[in-house]
Amino acid sequence: MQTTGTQQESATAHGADTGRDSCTGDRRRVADRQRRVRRGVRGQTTLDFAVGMSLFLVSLTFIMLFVPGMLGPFVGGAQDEIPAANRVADDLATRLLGNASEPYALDADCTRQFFESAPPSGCEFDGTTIEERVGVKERTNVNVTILGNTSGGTVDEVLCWDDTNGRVVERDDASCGSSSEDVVLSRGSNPDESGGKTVSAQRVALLDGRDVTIEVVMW
Amino acid sequence: MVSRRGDADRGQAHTLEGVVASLLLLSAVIFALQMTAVTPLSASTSSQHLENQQESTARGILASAAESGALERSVLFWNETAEQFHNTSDAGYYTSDPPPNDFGHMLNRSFDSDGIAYNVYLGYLSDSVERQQRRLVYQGRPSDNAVRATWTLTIYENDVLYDHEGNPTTTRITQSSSYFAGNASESSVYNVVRVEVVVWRI
Repeated sequence: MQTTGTQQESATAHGADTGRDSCTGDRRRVADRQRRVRRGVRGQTTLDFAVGMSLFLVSLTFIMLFVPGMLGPFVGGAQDEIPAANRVADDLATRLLGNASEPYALDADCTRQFFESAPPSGCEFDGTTIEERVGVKERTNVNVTILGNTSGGTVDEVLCWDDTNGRVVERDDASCGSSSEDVVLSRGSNPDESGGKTVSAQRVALLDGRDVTIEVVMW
Repeated sequence: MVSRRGDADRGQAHTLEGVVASLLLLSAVIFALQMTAVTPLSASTSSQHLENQQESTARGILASAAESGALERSVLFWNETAEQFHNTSDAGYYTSDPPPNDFGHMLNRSFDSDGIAYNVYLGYLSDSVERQQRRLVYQGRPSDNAVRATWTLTIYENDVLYDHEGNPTTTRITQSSSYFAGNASESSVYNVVRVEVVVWRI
C-alpha cells in the first residue's frame, strides 16, 4: 500500500514537470493547483506524522530515562563495602570493643583505647591505625563513631569519654575536653570527603550502662 | 486525488509505525525487566541492607537491655490491680508510645525517630505447657519485609514485680495472682519468656 502511494506520487510529480514545459498559459494554474494539492497533502501528512513520531519519541524518552535507573543497582559504586561494613560493625559490637563471651556489652576502657592511637593493652584489637584494628585494607576508608543520647535531647550526638568523671557524655558537653585524657569516640577518615558514595552499618550496644549506637561508615 | 489518497495512506502508515515502534521498545524493556531478578521496583539489595541493619539493631537492643537488666524489669513491669502492664490502654499493651521504662527508651531511641515501627511479643509457657504469646508493644500488622530478633529471658520465683516508676515492689511474682505467665516449673525457675522484637519500615 505504501509503495503504491510513493510510486503514484512520483508519477504525478513527473507529469507536472512535463506539463510546465508544454504550455505557458496553463503553467500558473497547474502550479497553483499543484501547490494547493501539495499543501493540503503535506498538512495531513505532517499531522499524522507528528502523531506517530511524538508517540515514538515519548516512549523513546521514557525508555532513555528508565533504563539507566533499571541498571542503577548493578553499577552502584560502594556495593563491595556492604559486607565489609557489616563485618566490621559486628566485630566491633560483639568482640573488639568488649569480650566475645558478652556480645554487645562494650568495655569502657577498651572503647576509649580504640579511639586513641596509642598501642592498646588488654584489649581484643592491636595495631595503631583504625584500618589495622578493624582489619580492612589500607586504601579502604573507614570511619567508626559511637553515637548516643546522654543529655535527654531529641537527637543522638557523638559521644565523648569524660576521663575526669569516668563516664560517657555527649561531645558538646562542657566536661568533654576539660582534661587531656578525654577522648571523642569518633575516628577515621571524614565521610564528608567521600564524594557521596558511602555504606554505613549500625549496631546498638551497651556502654557505661547506656545504649549507644556504633556507626561504621566505609567507602 | 490519487496522490492525496496515497499520501493519506502514508500518514496512517507513519502513525502505525510510530505506535509499533513504541510497543516494540516498551516490550523490550518489559522483557528486560522480567529477565532481571533485582530491579528498583522489587525489594532490592539496598533495602535488604536496611533490613539487616534493623535486625542487628533489634538484636543489639535486646542484648543491651538483657545485660543491663532493663529487659527483665520491662517484663516484670506489671500492674497487679489493673492486671496488665503499667500505663497501658484497655487493650493491655502499648501502642503508639513505647513502654515507659528503660527498655522502652532504648527502643524509642533507635526506632521511633526513623519512621520505623515495631512490635514486641512475649512468648511464654502456659500451665498446660503450651507456648502462648502476649503483646507487649503492638503498633500494627508487620509488612512483608519485617525482620525479627528474639531473646530468651528466664524469670525466677524470687523475682519481684516493678511499680510504675520502675522501682521494685515487695510483691514476688509467685504471690501475684494476675501475672500473665503462670508458674511453669517445679524448680526455682518460674517461667521462660521469649522476647520477640519485630521491626519494619513504614
